[in-house]
Amino acid sequence: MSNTSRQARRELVAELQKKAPEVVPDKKTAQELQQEIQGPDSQVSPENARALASQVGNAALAKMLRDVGRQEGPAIEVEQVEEQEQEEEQEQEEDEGWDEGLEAAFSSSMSAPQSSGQGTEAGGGAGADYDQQYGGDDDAEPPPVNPKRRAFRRAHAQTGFGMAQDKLKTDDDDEETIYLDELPPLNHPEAPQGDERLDAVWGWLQEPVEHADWDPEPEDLTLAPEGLVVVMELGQFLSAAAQDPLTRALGRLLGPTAGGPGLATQVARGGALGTLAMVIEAERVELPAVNQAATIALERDARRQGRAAAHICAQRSRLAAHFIFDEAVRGELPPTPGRASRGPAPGRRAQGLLDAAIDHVVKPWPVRPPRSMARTHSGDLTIDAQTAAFDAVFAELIGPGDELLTHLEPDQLQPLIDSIETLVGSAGRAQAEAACAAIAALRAAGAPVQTRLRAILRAVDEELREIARESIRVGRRLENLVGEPMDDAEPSLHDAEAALRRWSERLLLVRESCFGAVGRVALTATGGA
Amino acid sequence: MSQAVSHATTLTSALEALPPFGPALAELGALDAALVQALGRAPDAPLAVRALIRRGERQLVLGQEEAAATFAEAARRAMALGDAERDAHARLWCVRALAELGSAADARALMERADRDAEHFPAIQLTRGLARAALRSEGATSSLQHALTEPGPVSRRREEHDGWLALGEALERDARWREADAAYARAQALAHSAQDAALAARVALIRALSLLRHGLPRQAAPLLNAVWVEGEPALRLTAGLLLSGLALAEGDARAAGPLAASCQALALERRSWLAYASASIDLAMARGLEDPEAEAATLLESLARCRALGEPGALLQSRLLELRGQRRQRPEEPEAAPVVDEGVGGAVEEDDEGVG
Repeated sequence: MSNTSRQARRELVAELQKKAPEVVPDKKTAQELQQEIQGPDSQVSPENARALASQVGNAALAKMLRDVGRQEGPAIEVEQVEEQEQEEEQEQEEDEGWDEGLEAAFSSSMSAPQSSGQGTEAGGGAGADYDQQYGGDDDAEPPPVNPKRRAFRRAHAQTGFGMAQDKLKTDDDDEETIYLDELPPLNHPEAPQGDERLDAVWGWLQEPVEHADWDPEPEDLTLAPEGLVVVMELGQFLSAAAQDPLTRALGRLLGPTAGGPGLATQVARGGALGTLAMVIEAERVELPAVNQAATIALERDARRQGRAAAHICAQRSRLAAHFIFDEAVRGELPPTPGRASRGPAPGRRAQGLLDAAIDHVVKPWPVRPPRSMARTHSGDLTIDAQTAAFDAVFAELIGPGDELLTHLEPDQLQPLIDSIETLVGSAGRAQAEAACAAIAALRAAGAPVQTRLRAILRAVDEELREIARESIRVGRRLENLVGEPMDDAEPSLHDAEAALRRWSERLLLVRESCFGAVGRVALTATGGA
Repeated sequence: MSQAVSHATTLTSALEALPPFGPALAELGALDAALVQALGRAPDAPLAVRALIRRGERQLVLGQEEAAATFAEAARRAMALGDAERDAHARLWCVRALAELGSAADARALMERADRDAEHFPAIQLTRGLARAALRSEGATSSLQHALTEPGPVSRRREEHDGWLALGEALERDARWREADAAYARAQALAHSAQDAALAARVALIRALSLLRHGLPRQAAPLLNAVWVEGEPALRLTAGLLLSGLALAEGDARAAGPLAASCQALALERRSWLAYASASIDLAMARGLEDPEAEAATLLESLARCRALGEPGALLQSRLLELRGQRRQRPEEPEAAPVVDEGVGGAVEEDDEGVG
């Protein structure tokens, strides 16, 4: 949002305040409301706001009042925007080098004694190694984990639905929140009905001021407004993952239109088409699964926050999937009120869509299959026929190579050692990916699933550590083979290669089953399927 | 016994002759049930394989998850019989069913051999192309194009329809939108010829969306109109919202207003609040084109209606804020605007005002 737009909005709100306060009756007609809101001299006083809230929307009024309440001028706001931009740039730079750092930290934790994933605060653990290798600063604060604005969920407020209850509370607007709690709630009759059960997009579009009066300036074109980003994200997900061709076609259409009539119109149309696409998809897949999959897919901050949390955990020698999860969601959600009931397992179509949603939000890295060792004696199965023929001719030309051909050299083992390092690194990365999936699922399903998600992450972490430990053991056995005659070493080499392939496949399976389990928890918590 | 086998054979032939389109689907279900009874009296393994393939096809059309298991069973039985063509055919169908269930890894694992085996059987090339398209594998486009060159028998029309649709989607992904539109048109024609109005409306909407995406709203409008008239409620609402948007873009308030009002009612009925907001904004804009004061009034009226039903109407509030912003930016006294012509009255007036 440009500063000009903010300024215009502030002027608008200021103008609304000029009018003398007056008592607004409880029930107003549309025309009276129009006069209240649109009259050039109207004012939103606390008294008026209380009465208007039930008619116009608490969030809009809250935003107006918040804007009016701010005393800092445009210059301060410019500074804030610049700081925010700098933070975002910094985060982007950190992201680029982050993965390597995490892999190294995880590898270090595997080689450290008693690396069971429980983490120790004493020095010398994974975090210390991480800091030593990657220049960690003892005094440096961990990167901030930006709290994500919580999506409004109609399903979470089945009775007495009111926006005030859903509003994110921050330290800055405690007074305002208390004030909002006093406002009469917007009563919703009962449980969501009809298309309103599909509230994945709707939940992101409940701040009127965010979607109004978009007057883009050149610098704004680099950052699309929140509402359009949500709509485009949904479009990307549906066009790639939906099972109905019509849903996919609608997904491809979602996004801003050139020369559109205004942000609110574009967001409303995009959100409407996105929701209708979900309705169409729900003809094939269970409706709760469609909604939950879309909700997860829209949790696009989960990946970044999971990675930031992993960075903090690495520094604290607590690099484990469940600790990353704890760190990312710490203080964000209220204490777990109770465990979510376990609903029936989702159907295969629903599971497929949920898996796609988690893939969409986590964007897991491919796990490279382990390389095989190049043999330099006969019986090499890894080189093609042409190369083997050339090798044979070459051997004839230079004569038989004695030790090189008959004994195992360290260089020959390098591809396998590299594969082991890659595999251990992938296991470390998978920890963070599992945590990211759980963060997205928690935000989609709410606090009651927190315990179950954490239990999954603990189990996954144990599996990943076992994969890493076994891979390292294979590496140690390989090191002991150096200098052995090739023929003697061959059975062990063969076993090692087979073991690495097995562990690599297992890593993929663990990650896949983790994502599946996380998706199921997110869905069954809603009582769907 | 021979009479029972003959009855089962007749039923299987009838089952294979009917394309699994809308009205025929119920008939296919009845035939399938009768065949199960017939085969129970006179078991016949080859007939059972044929019947299973057709049942799986019907299940797939109906979106039933059992389709993959049905095709897998057909493949197992065909393999036991040594029927390589039906084995490959059932496997290809199974690949498609698995891919549509979201089990892409399983589908890929099955595809490798099925694709290789199917190479030798011209009659199942369309199924092969559809399986490739379901996996979005390379070669799907050419495979489908090759398989769809000649129209097949009536019994194959549903598969042809799916083939044209998949081909259209694949071509659209490659930005070959003219060819994509032609492919969608073929799919639409097949749905029409099978008297499946619901399916035809869906294809028409897919086609219209493709045209809109490629900047051809005028070509898309008739298709959207057809969906607006014939489609199911969710499709009607989608088409209506798109149509009212198109009419507004043309400045045609007379067309946009009634459409938007109908969409608003439809959305309200479905409790589809974002659609309601979109339709209400369109309706307000349409009225605003004729009377600028009516836009805000319409929005407020819509806002009051949805809030009475428990919907906050955030986007309607957004639009109201936008209107206020626009009003603020408008010059309040047009006559005070500077006049650019030098040396004539306006400039003099401006100077006079300044002096005054």
